[in-house]
Amino acid sequence: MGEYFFFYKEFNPRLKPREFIQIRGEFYEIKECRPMLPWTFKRTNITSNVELGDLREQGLKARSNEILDVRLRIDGPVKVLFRIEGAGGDVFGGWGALERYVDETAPSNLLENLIMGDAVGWLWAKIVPLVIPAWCRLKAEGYVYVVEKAGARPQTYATPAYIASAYTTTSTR
Amino acid sequence: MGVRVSDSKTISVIGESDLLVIPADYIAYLKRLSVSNGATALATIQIIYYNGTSKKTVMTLKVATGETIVLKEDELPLEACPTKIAVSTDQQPIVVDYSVELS
Repeated sequence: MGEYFFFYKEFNPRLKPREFIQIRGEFYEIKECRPMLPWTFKRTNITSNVELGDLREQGLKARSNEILDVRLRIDGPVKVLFRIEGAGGDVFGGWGALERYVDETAPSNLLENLIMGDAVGWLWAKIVPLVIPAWCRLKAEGYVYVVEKAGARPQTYATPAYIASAYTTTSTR
Repeated sequence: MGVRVSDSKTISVIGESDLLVIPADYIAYLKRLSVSNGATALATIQIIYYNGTSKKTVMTLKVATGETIVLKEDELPLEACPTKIAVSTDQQPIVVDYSVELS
Protein backbone atom coordinates (compact mmCIF):
# COMPACT_ATOMS: atom_id res chain seq x y z
CA MET A 1 0.00 0.00 0.00
CA GLY A 2 3.06 2.18 -0.31
CA GLU A 3 1.57 4.45 -2.94
CA TYR A 4 -1.16 5.68 -0.65
CA PHE A 5 1.05 7.90 1.46
CA PHE A 6 -0.24 11.42 1.39
CA PHE A 7 3.11 12.86 0.40
CA TYR A 8 3.92 10.10 -1.97
CA LYS A 9 6.77 10.95 -4.25
CA GLU A 10 7.40 9.05 -7.40
CA PHE A 11 10.41 6.85 -7.74
CA ASN A 12 12.86 8.74 -9.89
CA PRO A 13 15.51 7.14 -12.08
CA ARG A 14 18.94 7.14 -10.47
CA LEU A 15 20.90 7.47 -13.68
CA LYS A 16 20.49 9.68 -16.68
CA PRO A 17 21.83 9.28 -20.22
CA ARG A 18 25.57 10.08 -20.54
CA GLU A 19 26.22 8.99 -16.97
CA PHE A 20 28.33 5.97 -16.14
CA ILE A 21 28.02 2.98 -13.88
CA GLN A 22 30.48 0.35 -12.78
CA ILE A 23 29.29 -3.22 -12.80
CA ARG A 24 31.60 -6.12 -12.05
CA GLY A 25 34.63 -4.00 -12.70
CA GLU A 26 33.45 -2.84 -16.11
CA PHE A 27 32.24 0.64 -16.97
CA TYR A 28 29.02 1.22 -18.81
CA GLU A 29 27.53 4.37 -20.27
CA ILE A 30 23.81 4.94 -19.93
CA LYS A 31 22.42 5.46 -23.40
CA GLU A 32 18.75 5.57 -22.63
CA CYS A 33 16.52 5.55 -19.60
CA ARG A 34 12.88 4.62 -19.76
CA PRO A 35 10.24 3.35 -17.36
CA MET A 36 9.95 -0.37 -17.10
CA LEU A 37 6.66 -2.07 -17.70
CA PRO A 38 5.61 -3.44 -14.32
CA TRP A 39 6.21 -7.09 -13.61
CA THR A 40 3.64 -8.86 -11.48
CA PHE A 41 3.31 -12.29 -10.06
CA LYS A 42 0.40 -13.69 -8.06
CA ARG A 43 0.03 -16.94 -6.24
CA THR A 44 -3.09 -17.94 -4.28
CA ASN A 45 -4.01 -20.68 -1.84
CA ILE A 46 -0.51 -21.04 -0.43
CA THR A 47 -0.54 -23.73 2.23
CA SER A 48 3.16 -24.40 2.60
CA ASN A 49 6.46 -22.80 1.67
CA VAL A 50 6.69 -22.12 -2.05
CA GLU A 51 10.09 -22.03 -3.65
CA LEU A 52 9.59 -19.67 -6.51
CA GLY A 53 13.22 -20.09 -7.36
CA ASP A 54 14.86 -17.92 -9.90
CA LEU A 55 12.65 -14.93 -10.70
CA ARG A 56 14.22 -14.72 -14.16
CA GLU A 57 12.14 -17.76 -14.98
CA GLN A 58 9.05 -15.83 -13.92
CA GLY A 59 9.95 -13.04 -16.32
CA LEU A 60 11.90 -10.62 -14.13
CA LYS A 61 15.02 -10.29 -16.22
CA ALA A 62 16.86 -7.82 -18.35
CA ARG A 63 18.42 -7.96 -21.77
CA SER A 64 22.21 -8.17 -21.88
CA ASN A 65 22.59 -4.47 -22.74
CA GLU A 66 20.05 -3.34 -20.18
CA ILE A 67 20.01 -2.68 -16.47
CA LEU A 68 16.72 -2.92 -14.64
CA ASP A 69 16.41 -0.64 -11.64
CA VAL A 70 13.48 -2.27 -9.86
CA ARG A 71 11.60 -1.71 -6.69
CA LEU A 72 9.66 -4.65 -5.40
CA ARG A 73 6.43 -4.60 -3.54
CA ILE A 74 4.92 -7.49 -1.67
CA ASP A 75 1.22 -7.88 -0.93
CA GLY A 76 -0.36 -10.63 1.08
CA PRO A 77 -0.06 -12.43 4.41
CA VAL A 78 3.33 -13.90 3.65
CA LYS A 79 6.97 -13.26 4.14
CA VAL A 80 9.29 -13.67 1.22
CA LEU A 81 12.87 -14.82 1.38
CA PHE A 82 14.78 -13.00 -1.32
CA ARG A 83 18.22 -14.01 -2.39
CA ILE A 84 20.03 -11.39 -4.39
CA GLU A 85 22.75 -12.77 -6.56
CA GLY A 86 26.04 -11.11 -5.72
CA ALA A 87 24.71 -9.21 -2.73
CA GLY A 88 26.58 -11.30 -0.20
CA GLY A 89 29.94 -9.88 -1.15
CA ASP A 90 33.08 -11.59 -2.23
CA VAL A 91 33.30 -14.99 -0.64
CA PHE A 92 35.60 -17.91 -1.07
CA GLY A 93 35.28 -19.34 -4.54
CA GLY A 94 33.06 -16.65 -5.97
CA TRP A 95 30.50 -14.09 -5.19
CA GLY A 96 27.97 -14.82 -2.47
CA ALA A 97 24.31 -14.18 -2.34
CA LEU A 98 22.41 -12.29 0.32
CA GLU A 99 19.24 -13.69 1.79
CA ARG A 100 16.66 -11.66 3.64
CA TYR A 101 13.10 -12.19 4.76
CA VAL A 102 10.75 -9.32 3.98
CA ASP A 103 7.02 -8.87 4.16
CA GLU A 104 4.55 -6.31 2.91
CA THR A 105 5.58 -3.80 5.57
CA ALA A 106 8.99 -3.44 3.93
CA PRO A 107 9.10 -0.09 2.16
CA SER A 108 9.76 -0.53 -1.52
CA ASN A 109 12.75 1.82 -1.45
CA LEU A 110 14.51 -0.80 0.68
CA LEU A 111 13.69 -3.44 -1.89
CA GLU A 112 15.41 -1.77 -4.76
CA ASN A 113 18.07 -3.47 -6.77
CA LEU A 114 19.79 -3.47 -10.11
CA ILE A 115 19.55 -6.40 -12.46
CA MET A 116 21.79 -6.47 -15.48
CA GLY A 117 21.34 -8.98 -18.25
CA ASP A 118 20.70 -12.46 -16.97
CA ALA A 119 23.86 -12.74 -14.87
CA VAL A 120 24.08 -9.80 -12.49
CA GLY A 121 21.85 -9.08 -9.53
CA TRP A 122 19.11 -11.53 -10.34
CA LEU A 123 16.68 -12.58 -7.65
CA TRP A 124 15.61 -15.83 -6.16
CA ALA A 125 12.59 -16.03 -3.88
CA LYS A 126 10.78 -18.30 -1.49
CA ILE A 127 7.31 -17.54 -0.16
CA VAL A 128 6.58 -18.46 3.44
CA PRO A 129 2.90 -18.18 4.43
CA LEU A 130 2.09 -16.35 7.67
CA VAL A 131 -1.45 -17.74 7.74
CA ILE A 132 -2.80 -20.75 5.95
CA PRO A 133 -4.04 -20.45 3.28
CA ALA A 134 -2.13 -17.36 2.26
CA TRP A 135 -1.75 -15.49 -0.99
CA CYS A 136 1.00 -13.38 -2.37
CA ARG A 137 1.40 -10.83 -5.06
CA LEU A 138 4.80 -9.49 -6.05
CA LYS A 139 5.18 -6.43 -8.16
CA ALA A 140 8.30 -4.86 -9.61
CA GLU A 141 8.34 -1.39 -11.02
CA GLY A 142 11.18 0.82 -12.06
CA TYR A 143 13.36 1.86 -14.91
CA VAL A 144 15.30 0.32 -17.72
CA TYR A 145 18.73 1.76 -18.47
CA VAL A 146 20.05 0.82 -21.88
CA VAL A 147 23.82 0.67 -21.53
CA GLU A 148 26.90 0.36 -23.65
CA LYS A 149 30.34 -0.61 -22.46
CA ALA A 150 32.58 2.45 -22.07
CA GLY A 151 35.92 2.52 -23.85
CA ALA A 152 37.87 3.95 -20.93
CA ARG A 153 37.44 4.58 -17.24
CA PRO A 154 35.13 7.60 -16.88
CA GLN A 155 35.89 10.40 -14.44
CA THR A 156 32.75 9.86 -12.42
CA TYR A 157 30.62 6.80 -12.24
CA ALA A 158 28.07 5.16 -9.98
CA THR A 159 29.23 2.20 -7.94
CA PRO A 160 26.15 0.26 -6.96
CA ALA A 161 26.57 -1.77 -3.83
CA TYR A 162 27.16 -5.49 -4.27
CA ILE A 163 27.56 -5.58 -8.03
CA ALA A 164 30.16 -2.91 -8.78
CA SER A 165 33.24 -4.93 -7.97
CA ALA A 166 34.97 -7.27 -10.31
CA TYR A 167 34.83 -10.91 -9.47
CA THR A 168 35.91 -14.17 -10.93
CA THR A 169 34.09 -17.43 -10.59
CA THR A 170 37.41 -19.21 -10.51
CA SER A 171 38.95 -17.45 -7.54
CA THR A 172 42.15 -19.11 -6.39
CA ARG A 173 42.41 -17.45 -3.00
CA MET B 1 -3.79 4.27 -7.43
CA GLY B 2 -5.26 1.12 -8.72
CA VAL B 3 -8.04 0.47 -11.17
CA ARG B 4 -11.51 1.34 -9.86
CA VAL B 5 -14.30 -1.01 -10.80
CA SER B 6 -17.90 -0.63 -9.75
CA ASP B 7 -21.00 -2.58 -10.60
CA SER B 8 -24.47 -3.41 -9.39
CA LYS B 9 -25.87 -6.91 -9.19
CA THR B 10 -29.37 -8.09 -8.46
CA ILE B 11 -29.16 -11.45 -6.78
CA SER B 12 -32.29 -13.53 -7.08
CA VAL B 13 -31.01 -16.90 -5.89
CA ILE B 14 -30.65 -18.01 -2.31
CA GLY B 15 -27.14 -19.16 -1.50
CA GLU B 16 -23.83 -18.04 -2.86
CA SER B 17 -23.31 -15.93 -5.97
CA ASP B 18 -20.15 -14.48 -7.48
CA LEU B 19 -19.79 -10.75 -7.23
CA LEU B 20 -16.43 -10.25 -8.92
CA VAL B 21 -13.75 -12.59 -10.15
CA ILE B 22 -10.43 -10.81 -9.72
CA PRO B 23 -8.40 -10.81 -12.94
CA ALA B 24 -4.98 -12.45 -12.92
CA ASP B 25 -2.15 -10.51 -11.24
CA TYR B 26 -4.53 -8.12 -9.53
CA ILE B 27 -5.73 -8.01 -5.97
CA ALA B 28 -8.92 -6.28 -4.96
CA TYR B 29 -9.75 -3.96 -2.10
CA LEU B 30 -13.43 -3.42 -1.40
CA LYS B 31 -13.97 0.33 -1.16
CA ARG B 32 -17.73 0.70 -1.00
CA LEU B 33 -20.63 -1.68 -0.63
CA SER B 34 -24.35 -1.11 -0.65
CA VAL B 35 -26.85 -3.89 -0.03
CA SER B 36 -30.61 -3.51 -0.51
CA ASN B 37 -33.07 -6.11 0.65
CA GLY B 38 -36.10 -6.50 -1.63
CA ALA B 39 -37.40 -9.60 0.17
CA THR B 40 -40.21 -9.74 2.70
CA ALA B 41 -38.01 -10.96 5.54
CA LEU B 42 -34.76 -10.03 7.27
CA ALA B 43 -31.85 -11.02 5.06
CA THR B 44 -28.53 -12.33 6.37
CA ILE B 45 -25.86 -11.55 3.86
CA GLN B 46 -22.27 -12.74 3.93
CA ILE B 47 -19.36 -11.30 2.01
CA ILE B 48 -16.94 -14.07 1.11
CA TYR B 49 -13.36 -13.73 -0.11
CA TYR B 50 -11.90 -16.58 -2.09
CA ASN B 51 -8.22 -17.39 -2.01
CA GLY B 52 -7.82 -19.95 -4.75
CA THR B 53 -10.22 -22.68 -3.77
CA SER B 54 -10.37 -21.79 -0.09
CA LYS B 55 -12.86 -19.24 1.13
CA LYS B 56 -13.33 -16.99 4.11
CA THR B 57 -16.37 -15.08 5.29
CA VAL B 58 -15.10 -11.60 5.95
CA MET B 59 -18.35 -9.90 6.85
CA THR B 60 -21.92 -10.74 7.85
CA LEU B 61 -24.69 -8.18 7.44
CA LYS B 62 -28.32 -8.21 8.54
CA VAL B 63 -30.53 -6.15 6.27
CA ALA B 64 -34.19 -5.54 7.15
CA THR B 65 -36.98 -5.67 4.58
CA GLY B 66 -36.85 -2.77 2.17
CA GLU B 67 -33.74 -1.37 3.80
CA THR B 68 -30.40 -0.41 2.25
CA ILE B 69 -27.08 -0.60 4.07
CA VAL B 70 -24.20 1.44 2.74
CA LEU B 71 -20.70 0.63 3.96
CA LYS B 72 -17.79 2.91 3.27
CA GLU B 73 -14.11 2.15 3.06
CA ASP B 74 -13.39 2.27 6.81
CA GLU B 75 -16.27 -0.10 7.56
CA LEU B 76 -15.18 -2.74 5.07
CA PRO B 77 -12.45 -5.37 5.44
CA LEU B 78 -8.97 -3.88 5.11
CA GLU B 79 -7.46 -6.96 3.63
CA ALA B 80 -7.30 -7.60 -0.08
CA CYS B 81 -9.10 -10.33 -1.91
CA PRO B 82 -6.86 -12.28 -4.28
CA THR B 83 -9.25 -14.43 -6.32
CA LYS B 84 -12.99 -13.84 -6.09
CA ILE B 85 -15.53 -11.87 -4.08
CA ALA B 86 -18.79 -13.69 -3.51
CA VAL B 87 -22.04 -12.95 -1.69
CA SER B 88 -24.22 -15.38 0.14
CA THR B 89 -27.82 -14.57 1.05
CA ASP B 90 -30.74 -16.35 2.70
CA GLN B 91 -33.38 -14.13 1.09
CA GLN B 92 -33.99 -12.89 -2.42
CA PRO B 93 -33.98 -10.58 -4.25
CA ILE B 94 -31.15 -8.43 -2.97
CA VAL B 95 -29.27 -5.74 -4.83
CA VAL B 96 -25.54 -5.36 -4.22
CA ASP B 97 -23.70 -2.28 -5.45
CA TYR B 98 -19.97 -2.34 -5.01
CA SER B 99 -16.88 -0.41 -5.79
CA VAL B 100 -13.57 -2.20 -5.82
CA GLU B 101 -10.03 -1.08 -6.33
CA LEU B 102 -7.86 -3.47 -8.27
CA SER B 103 -4.18 -2.89 -7.64
